[in-house]
Amino acid sequence: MIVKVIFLNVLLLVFSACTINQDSLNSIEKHTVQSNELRILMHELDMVVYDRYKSELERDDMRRRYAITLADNIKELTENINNIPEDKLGQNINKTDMKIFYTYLKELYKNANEIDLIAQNYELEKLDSKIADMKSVCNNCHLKFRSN
Amino acid sequence: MKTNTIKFFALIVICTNLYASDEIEIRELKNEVKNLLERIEALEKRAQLKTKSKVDEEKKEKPKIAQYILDDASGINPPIKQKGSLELKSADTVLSIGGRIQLDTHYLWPEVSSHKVNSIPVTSNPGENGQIKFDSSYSRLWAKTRTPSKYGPIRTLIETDFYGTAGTEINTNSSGLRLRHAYVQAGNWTVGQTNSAFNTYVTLDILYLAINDVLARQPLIRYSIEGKKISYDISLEQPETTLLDPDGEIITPKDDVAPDVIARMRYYPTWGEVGFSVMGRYINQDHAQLSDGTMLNNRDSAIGWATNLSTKVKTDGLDDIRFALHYGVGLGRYIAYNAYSAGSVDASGNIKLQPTYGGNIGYRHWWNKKLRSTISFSYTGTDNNLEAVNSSANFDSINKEAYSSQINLLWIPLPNALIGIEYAKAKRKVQSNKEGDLDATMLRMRYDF
Repeated sequence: MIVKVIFLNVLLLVFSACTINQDSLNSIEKHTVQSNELRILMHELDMVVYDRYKSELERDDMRRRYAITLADNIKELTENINNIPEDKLGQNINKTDMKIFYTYLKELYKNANEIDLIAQNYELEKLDSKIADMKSVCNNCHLKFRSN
Repeated sequence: MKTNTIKFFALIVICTNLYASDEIEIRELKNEVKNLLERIEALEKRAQLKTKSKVDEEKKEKPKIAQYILDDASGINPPIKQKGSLELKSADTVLSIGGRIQLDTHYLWPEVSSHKVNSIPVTSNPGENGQIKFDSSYSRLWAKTRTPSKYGPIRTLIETDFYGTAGTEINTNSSGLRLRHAYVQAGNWTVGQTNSAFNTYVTLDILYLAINDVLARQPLIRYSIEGKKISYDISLEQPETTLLDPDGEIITPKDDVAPDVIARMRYYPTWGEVGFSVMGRYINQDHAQLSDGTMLNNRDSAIGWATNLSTKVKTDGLDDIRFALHYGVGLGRYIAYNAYSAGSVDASGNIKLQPTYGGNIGYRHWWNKKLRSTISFSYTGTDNNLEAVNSSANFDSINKEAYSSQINLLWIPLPNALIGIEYAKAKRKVQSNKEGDLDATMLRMRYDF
């Protein structure tokens, strides 16, 4: 049995070693990877309701944990985008657009802080609308700048 | 000339006086206007402050019901039309009510009540092949509250389902209310009845219960330390000894003197989730009564222990692989719904604990964001102390091992809803070496509200 447990632990280590080393990616690639991670996190958050064994408070604990991770990831993402050199953001972005872009970024960071606060206080009934706010910031920004 | 000069000077004096008095009046008027303007400004500021504080107060988040009660007191709400009212202990308490409506449609062959180890028939004539059965008794109802305090939020939950005393299918299909959870969480403490800390933390995404399910809901006192990536729990839980007696029956001596002690670690890496529990148990019998009515005339005890490891590893996209391993000497009732005992008690009253083990593995694949499947295999077994059992005992009722394979397709037609189908094939082997098979299909429709 002990051999089985050791084998399992080795297996876990191998799996963890296989995860992408984000330090090796450039800022724009990082944004893509992080966006994907956010999508998975939000999907997992939606799936909490289907966990058959957990009690409603345990589900809230799971939601809270996902929400805090989500907030952390968004903060990391905004910092990462903030570090992208302006010339790499797009060729046709003028100064006004740049201002709009950074306003979106600021709004995203603010949303992340609010999500974090909601989760810390277990006020999870407010979570859906706050995530919707965050999604709309992301979508509006992508709509305006992705074509660039 | 002199008169003219005097007149001229008199005129100048009058004009100067007139001008001077006008200037004084104008100055006074100006001062008055200035004072008035200052007063108006001060009044406006006060009015603005009042409006702002009122708006702030309105903006401040309050529980809906508490807000309604406040509005009611201040006369904002229309005249009372409702016949009753709901009052919470604290105006800051948030009360949420929810539940689940679930309809399971089973078709099992041979016809048995469930997909648990003890239900799989091993007799030569296991029964008819199949009967369609509709069941809504797993529908749930819960109420939870959250009240802020200086120690953090105090949270409570009462959760029930209707899997209590079963009615008949002839007329009304009544099902009795059953308590699932009733507990409070304050700070790091959890007190009340809820899931055991020894339960498998990462479970398979399947409809039928895994054959090796490690699940207990019981009264407990738990202390938790929550971290961002790693959390710990230490729990004192309701003990209950189960022992195999010389007639091959599982007895519960009801002589427990110490709680089951469980320590658990939960780990949340970016690649998945891990739960690991260790349990210590004090197994005791004190002049226990055997299944044939004989009273033992001694007292004996033993220390049991068990471990439970469960893991989810994310693979491609939303897919994941989940596995669990359990092993324990005296694991007993915690695994497979009491299919095995913690140990045996012989005719002299001596206790000997037995090793019990189990595991499962499942792969969950998402066909798209609303459609997923899991394929899984689960196994459980034990090494019974047969030397404590009489040769005349019914060895058909002493479980040795069981396993099950399951495959499903689960669809999310709308948020919080689920429609799923599953096929399970299970096998049970008992101590007489007889084997029994079970095939089961289920259609589940549920909605969480």
